[in-house]
Formats: sequence, C-alpha cells, structure tokens
Amino acid sequence: MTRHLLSAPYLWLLPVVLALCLLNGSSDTLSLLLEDDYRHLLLQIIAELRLPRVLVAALVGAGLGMAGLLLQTLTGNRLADPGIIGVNQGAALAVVAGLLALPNLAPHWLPLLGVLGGLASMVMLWILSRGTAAIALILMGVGLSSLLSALIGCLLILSDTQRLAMVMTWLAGSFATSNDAVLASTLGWSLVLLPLSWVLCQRLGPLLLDPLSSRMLGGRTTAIESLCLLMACGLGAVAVAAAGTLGFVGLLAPHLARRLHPPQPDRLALPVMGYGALLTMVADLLGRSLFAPVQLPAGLMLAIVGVPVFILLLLWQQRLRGD
Amino acid sequence: MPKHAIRATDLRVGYRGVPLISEPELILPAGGITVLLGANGSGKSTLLKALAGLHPLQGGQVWIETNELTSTPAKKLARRLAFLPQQPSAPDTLTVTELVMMGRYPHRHPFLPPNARDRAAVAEALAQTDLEALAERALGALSGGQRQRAWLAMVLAQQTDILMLDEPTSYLDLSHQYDLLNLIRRLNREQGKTLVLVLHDLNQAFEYADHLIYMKQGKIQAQGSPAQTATPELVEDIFGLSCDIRPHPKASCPMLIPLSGL
Repeated sequence: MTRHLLSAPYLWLLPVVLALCLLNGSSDTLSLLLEDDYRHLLLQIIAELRLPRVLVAALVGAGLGMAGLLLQTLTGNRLADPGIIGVNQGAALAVVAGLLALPNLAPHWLPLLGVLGGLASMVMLWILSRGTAAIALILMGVGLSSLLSALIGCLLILSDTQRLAMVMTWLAGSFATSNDAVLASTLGWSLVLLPLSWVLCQRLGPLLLDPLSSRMLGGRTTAIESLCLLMACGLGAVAVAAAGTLGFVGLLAPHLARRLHPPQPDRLALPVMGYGALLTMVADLLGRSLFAPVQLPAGLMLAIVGVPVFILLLLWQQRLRGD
Repeated sequence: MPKHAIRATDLRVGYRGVPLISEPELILPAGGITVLLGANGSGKSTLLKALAGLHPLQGGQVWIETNELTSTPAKKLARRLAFLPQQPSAPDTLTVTELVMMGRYPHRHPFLPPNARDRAAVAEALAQTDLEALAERALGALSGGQRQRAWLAMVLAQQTDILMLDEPTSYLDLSHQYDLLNLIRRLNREQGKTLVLVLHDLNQAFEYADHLIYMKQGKIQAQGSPAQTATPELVEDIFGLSCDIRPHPKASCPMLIPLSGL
C-alpha cells in the first residue's frame, strides 16, 4: 500500500494541496481558526470565496491535462497542448466575440461558444498539417495561436471600454473572478466531459504505436480521431470559459504522469487529471499568496514554469529524435 | 476456404494523382508465402500497403478473403489481416507483454480487462518468438533483433490468417534474418497462415517463398514459383544486375550468384 501511494503521489498530494488552498489566502485564516468567535467567519470565507475558486481551478486543470493527453496521444507529439497549438485561443476568440456581442449571455453558454471556436481552429490545424512531420503541427499551431491572439487584441481595441475591463481580467487566465455561477457551469460540463474522456482513453492504446500499426489494429479510425479532437476542444473550451487562456497545464500534466505511470492512455487518464488539478491549484495558490495582497493570475505562474519546460522538451525532441 | 487469400481487380494506386501501379488482376494464393521483389522505388511497399488498406486506391477493388477492403470495418479487417510496417515504433517504456497485448485490441471488448483467450494468445505469441524470458522487459532495453521479434509477436497475437510483413529482415544481422525467416516458414507450415512479405535478398526469397512477384516501375513484370521464374534475364531486367543462377547445393531451390563485380 505504501509503495502504491508513493508511486501515485497525486493521490495524497491532492487533499494536502486542497487543504492548503482553502486555508491560505489574503486574510490570515489560521489565527481565525483559533478564536471561537471568528470560526464561523472563517467557514464563510472558505465556503463562499475560496471553495468555488479552488474547485474551478481543480476542474479546469483536470480538463486541460486531459485535453493535452488526448491531443498528444492523437498526434504522437508530446508538445501538443491546447494552449500551445491554438485550441484555447480559438475558444477564447469565440468567447470574447460572444461576450462583446451578446453581453447578457448566461455563463453556462460560454463553453459552447468556446467549443465552436476551438473546434474551428483545431480542424483548420488538422487539415493543414495532415501528412507533414510531427513538428509541423506544433509550429503551425504556435503560429495559429499568435494569429488568434492578435485577432482577440483587435476585438478588444474595437470594443467599448466598459466591457473591456471584464474581458481583460478573464483573458489573463485567472481564477479571481470564479464565483458560484462559474463553478456551476464548469462543474456541469466537467461532470459530462471528464468521465467521457476517461472512457475514450480506454480505447486509445494502439495510438501509442506508429500510425500504420495503429490503423492496422483498427485503433486509429476516423471516428476515434474525430472523438479525440472533439473531446480535447470541449475540455479546452470549458477551461477557457471558466478561466481564460491558461497555458501549459496540458503539456506539464501528461509529462509528469508519464514519468511516474505506465504510458498507456487508459492508465494515464486518472493521474493526468490529478496532476492537472494539482498544477492549477498550486499555481493559483502561489499567484495569490506570493505577493499578497497583489494577486498574480495563475496563468502567469503556469507560463513561468511551463515555458522553460516547453523549450527543453522542444530541444530534446529535435536533437534526439530528429523530427 | 477460398483459393485466394487476397484478390485485387482493376487495381490502380498512385501518389497525388500520379498513377504508379495499375494491375487488371492480382491474386495472392492462400496458405502460401508470397514475396514481393523489386528495386528500390519499384512500388512493392506501396502495393503491399494498398492491399492492406493503408494506401488509398485510385480505382479497383481488393478482397481480403471474402471481405471487400474499403467496406470492411477496421476492427473486423484486423481480425483477418495483420500488417507489420517497415519501421514500427512504440514508447520505450512499454513492456514486451504490453506491446504484444496491443495485438489483441481488435478481439477485445472495449472496457473489459483481457480475458483468458487474450492472455493465452499473448503467451503463445511470446513462446513462438522465443520471448518468454524478456516478457516484462521494456522495449527500450531490447536489442534490434529482440525488438523485431517483439513486434512480430504483436502481430501474431492478432491471430489472423493473413500476415503482411514489410521488409521484416532489415536492420537484422544475417543469422537473425534467417531465424526470422525460419519462424515465418514455421508459421506457414504449422498453422497454414498466408504470408506476404517484401524482401530485398533474392536468395532468401528463392529459398523461402512459394510465390514470387517481381515489380519494376509499378508494374508486375513476372510472377510464379522460384523454380519457374529465377532466370538471369529476369534478374537483369528487374534489378539491372548481371548474375548466374545455379541450383542450390543443399536445398531444392535456385541460387543467385552476382557477377556484376567481375
């Protein structure tokens, strides 16, 4: 049992980080905990402010990790991440356009808009990079995501200033605005998409092999490929709708999981969700406590860790594999 | 059981609209070892891939036993036909058993763990390829020859009647090449499997094949048994190699002696 726990650190790290996230914040809660009069205040802070935020962070992280795992398994490239190849930016563009054009839109419709945007960018990328080297997909994706970011910038400049502030806060990839409504929408979508993607992962074993072998085993059909793309876009869009464009979780979570677990997608699915949730929770915790009372968005914290890892992986892949 | 394992009619295959292969009829005999021969770029790998459904057809039809290729679901096809590509790849951390279990994918229930039949098929494939001692070893820790055997075990675990191997002997040293060919012959003789291979070594093809298909610039120039087809003229035409063909001193097959260095 001990060995099992050590080999799957996400199992015991999750509750520890969850507790840290709930107890730690801009007001010192430990002193409140010790005083009887204020204990109810503490519970109120935790239940109303911190719990939604932490839960949204965990769900978003789990979803992005899973989206990364699906894209990496599908493309056979470990650099594929919904934030790097433009899926998140496509979703963000659609959501920004929706927020600006239809200001009264209920938050639970935002993921649907996001799915459309993410899917459009993913399909475009998929068609462009068919039959090219594995690295071409990543490079084209990086280009596509810059283009989409530029388009988002254009939209923001053209829009009126009142809505701009709201959209900008959301775009930075932050959980600061997470409230009950965001939690309800994220939870609802995640409860559908995460179990479905786990089920999908049970069928993806052959995708670990080269494309010819996986096709000859009947494990790489158009249906399976389309489902992977659709699911990754869905998960990315839910994350974008909840917390803006958070990058690198989809890159880091599967990478961490592969270091510690067997490489088959069905055995990576749960660990990847665990590490994804851990990463965003820790990033949010660091972001709001390092320079308190100033809050840094979790997206920035993730980029500070994620970019060097991405560059190292890129170099490693170029030198060792030559692709 | 039909006389042919694979039959193609009006087969047309090419790259980006440029036709490469055009054959009115092609039949690969059931229960035999068929070897595709030809110079580099002659279209043998492309033909093999087209027959396996891995290369789009520009025209014509292919039947795998009684199943029409394009209308057969991928998993059903994978229970009839297994294919080992030239350069297969898998994560280095995957173990031999895990790789071989992939071969059971087309037989397995989507969400259930492997059943007794799956485990028996994997054990049998590991025994046939002499890999039992390495079963729990990671692929990254194997030599080239061991890895090739592990891949062969993977396609064997698929338990198909037809096995296609695209240059299975490349990257192996000479003695491992013959080990592999002897295993292929055993699979053919003992289990009646139909084998279709691409080989580069003509002497190996003469010794192990029942049926030879000679290709040049996408055309099938000749086919037949080694004894019928092995002539210096044909080898000169197909490979541009001057040679002498003699009877093999120990086996009942032709033997090629290259003369182009003289």
